[in-house]
Amino acid sequence: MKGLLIKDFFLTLANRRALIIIGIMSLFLAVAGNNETFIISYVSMFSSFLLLYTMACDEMSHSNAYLLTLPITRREYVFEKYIYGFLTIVAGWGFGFIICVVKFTAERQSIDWASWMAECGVILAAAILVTAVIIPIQIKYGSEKGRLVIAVAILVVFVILIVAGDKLMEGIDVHIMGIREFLREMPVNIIVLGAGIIWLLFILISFAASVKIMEDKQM
Amino acid sequence: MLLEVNNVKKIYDGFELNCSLRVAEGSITGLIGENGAGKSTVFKGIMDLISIDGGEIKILGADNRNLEKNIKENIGVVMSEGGFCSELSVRQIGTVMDSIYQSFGRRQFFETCKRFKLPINKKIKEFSTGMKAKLSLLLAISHDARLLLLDEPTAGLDVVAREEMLDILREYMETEGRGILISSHISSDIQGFCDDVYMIHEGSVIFHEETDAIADRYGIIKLSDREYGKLDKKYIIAYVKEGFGYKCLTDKRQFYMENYPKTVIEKGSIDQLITIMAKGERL
Repeated sequence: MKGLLIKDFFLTLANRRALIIIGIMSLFLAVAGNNETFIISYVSMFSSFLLLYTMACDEMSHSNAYLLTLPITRREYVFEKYIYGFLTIVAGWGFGFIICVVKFTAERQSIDWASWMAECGVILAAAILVTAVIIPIQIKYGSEKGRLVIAVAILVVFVILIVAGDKLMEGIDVHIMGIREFLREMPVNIIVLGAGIIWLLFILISFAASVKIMEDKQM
Repeated sequence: MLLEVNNVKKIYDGFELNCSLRVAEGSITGLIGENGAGKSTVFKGIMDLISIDGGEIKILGADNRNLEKNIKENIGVVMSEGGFCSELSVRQIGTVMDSIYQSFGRRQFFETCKRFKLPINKKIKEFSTGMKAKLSLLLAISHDARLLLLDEPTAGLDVVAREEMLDILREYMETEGRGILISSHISSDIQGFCDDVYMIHEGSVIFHEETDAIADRYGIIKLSDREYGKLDKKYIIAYVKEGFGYKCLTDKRQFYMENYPKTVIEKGSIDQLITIMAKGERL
């Protein structure tokens, strides 16, 4: 797997334009904007695109088929994509975090660090979750079709929310209130642990699905 | 036996592959056939890149599905389409290969690249077709593999580049216990290089022979319609009807030379063999 990680790192370096855009945009947002949360979200999400670039490269040059002729299994190939995806997001998130800390210090802002860190943690978890949704779609449909599938899926969710959103909310209103009450009574630690377990389960399901897709894929 | 492909079937819509072939230690086996005959499907099946619908494939004695890493270490592959992403440089690829293969000779690989005038720091996308082909081959032989699977490694190359590549492979075969399966639609690559040859046509292996035997025993007999009618067809493998009459392929050239001394009989060549076997009628 080390070899695959190195390969993807080199491909990311080759994608210098994206790295420069991420850097310039985050600095611009830090200087011109006031929303630090947005900076971290922006950098984290954009960093996940670096993984998609490596997947597109693999696909375009039939590199994914070639790599499987080397001492690399299909499962390893998928596993590396998850690890590399998470590493790039953590790196992007870390970069955004440092920029925000510099901004806070330069502007001498007083910050509630506990709540700020919690907010950053949620952003990191969300970015990883989005990547976990995208990876199996990319493996199944490839980069061109995959983008289309993701766009259509987002559109479908929006249409459902707009057309049937009110009725849906009416129907589940009672339950939401119930859940809200239930959560309010729960200790924060338990809520965080529960969310963490659900998050981890989602990642594992995504990984299992990706492995299955890859194992069935005809190269 | 380095490679055994036994009664392998792969069924696509409108195409069916039926293939059996073997590659022994110390031998170079050629796989020939027209474009679309199924050569790449055979290679993909061997490397488990596609699932097969029947039969079995053994590489270095092991089932080809879920090959152990130590077996894969001993296989070098050139794909007709596919390789490292063209955004990478040779130096970067060397680093990647060094992390993937235990027996990758990094220094030797870079030295060989220099010997074949491959710029180490240039991205592959800036390489010519010949340079890309050379790089693919050098990568396949860079980790001391016992078996090379080369799908059209010389496609798109000029004569000089092709000869250079075949020289690399001849050098590779100097070590005992190695073997090569190579596909090509360029007959000269196969004729002067391989020990035996399989011909695949519309998904089926229709011919297997040692290349020396093709030159020694096989012949092409050119006949008018009247001569063809009188010909003893006992040793005719296939024939094709042409404007002037008939062209027949035989594996007993000597027999026809002795019994039909006035008939035009040429030595067997792979080009003629492909043409008659693929386009003609088999007897």
